[in-house]
Amino acid sequence: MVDPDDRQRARAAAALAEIEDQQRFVTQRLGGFSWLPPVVAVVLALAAASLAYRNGVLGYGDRIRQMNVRFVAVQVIYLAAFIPLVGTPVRTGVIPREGRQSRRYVFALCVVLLSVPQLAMLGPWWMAIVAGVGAGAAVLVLSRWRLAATLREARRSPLVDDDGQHPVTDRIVAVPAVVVIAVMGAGVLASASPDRALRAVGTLAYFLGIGSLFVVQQRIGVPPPELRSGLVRKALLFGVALWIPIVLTTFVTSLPGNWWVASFCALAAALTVATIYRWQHNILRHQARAADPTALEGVDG
Amino acid sequence: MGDHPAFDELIHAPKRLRICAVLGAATAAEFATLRDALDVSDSVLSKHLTALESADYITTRRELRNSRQRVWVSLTPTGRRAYAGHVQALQQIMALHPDDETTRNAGLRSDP
Repeated sequence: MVDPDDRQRARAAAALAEIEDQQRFVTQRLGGFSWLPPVVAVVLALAAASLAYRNGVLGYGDRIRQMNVRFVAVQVIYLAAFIPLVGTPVRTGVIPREGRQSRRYVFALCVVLLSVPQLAMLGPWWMAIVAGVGAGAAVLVLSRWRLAATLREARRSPLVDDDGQHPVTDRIVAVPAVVVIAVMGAGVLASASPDRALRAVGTLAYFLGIGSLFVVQQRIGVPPPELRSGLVRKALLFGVALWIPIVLTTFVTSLPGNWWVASFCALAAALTVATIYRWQHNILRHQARAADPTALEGVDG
Repeated sequence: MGDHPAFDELIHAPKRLRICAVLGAATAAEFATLRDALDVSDSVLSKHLTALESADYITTRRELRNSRQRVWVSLTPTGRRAYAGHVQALQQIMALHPDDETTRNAGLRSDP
């Protein structure tokens, strides 16, 4: 006669083995597109390195005007790379659980994708080659690390406490939205200034603002399925909408005193940032409602 | 993990346990992916999803893409807690026999 305890243990063992099989299935699905980052890395490396061709000895602004079509094409390629690298391939049929670590790699990938075209334009011809090779290598390494972190996350317990202290992130997240909007608007205006130093400060402030938006998003994490509709499209739209004002001020208002265009760009940037904050706020409200209906007051306040 | 081990009969049914295992390892999974994972027909999967949905363990979302409707399924916070509690209960049962092969291999780590 079989001991009831043994039968119970056998059932539990079979159930745990089943769970392990399903976790393996999910990790196989998530790892199914691991061939994509190397392909994208090669494209990005070639795109940035192409800026080395006939790279003159002019300053940054003059160089942008001189080779605008090529530069814009490279920018578009780098922005388009957000889809395969940062977005989740819909074909896997699985939206991964993204932990803090994998979000950090996504953040680093975003920094690479936003900064490399600029870096490639800054110095002499060899700078573009170095930036291209660096971008390719960074994309390869970060994508690999991100995939490893995502797979680790899939094998973790379904409930995970993640209440670690993150003082720098906490401080950035605590900056009021209105301050970020004001700084980014002012950054666009300053980037249109005839004064080279002021232009550099304005551009830097603008990019710091974009960075803070990423940090807030990193803290919020993956939106719940109900709000994921068109997420990649939305992220691209936000990316382009944040990109256009600073590119326009660099192109058009390089004619000193074109404050009409600069003001319009600053307004567009401010509205975009406000929209992004509104969207992030909606995600927070949704998360709070799912966790605890009484927590809504805290989020709204 | 903040929840207590609690054996859940609704989750423990083999097909539903496999559904929860896929959803527990992800934020959401598509209906077709779940069907592939379980190797069952659409109707069988729908039946089990309905049982889980009526217990408020899962939620479904329909999305139109390229004129094809996709259904995304995810665990609700209640479902995630129930599933985590169930897994803990299974691990507790197995802990009585630490030499068991499955206990050693089941990679359900609770450490961050």
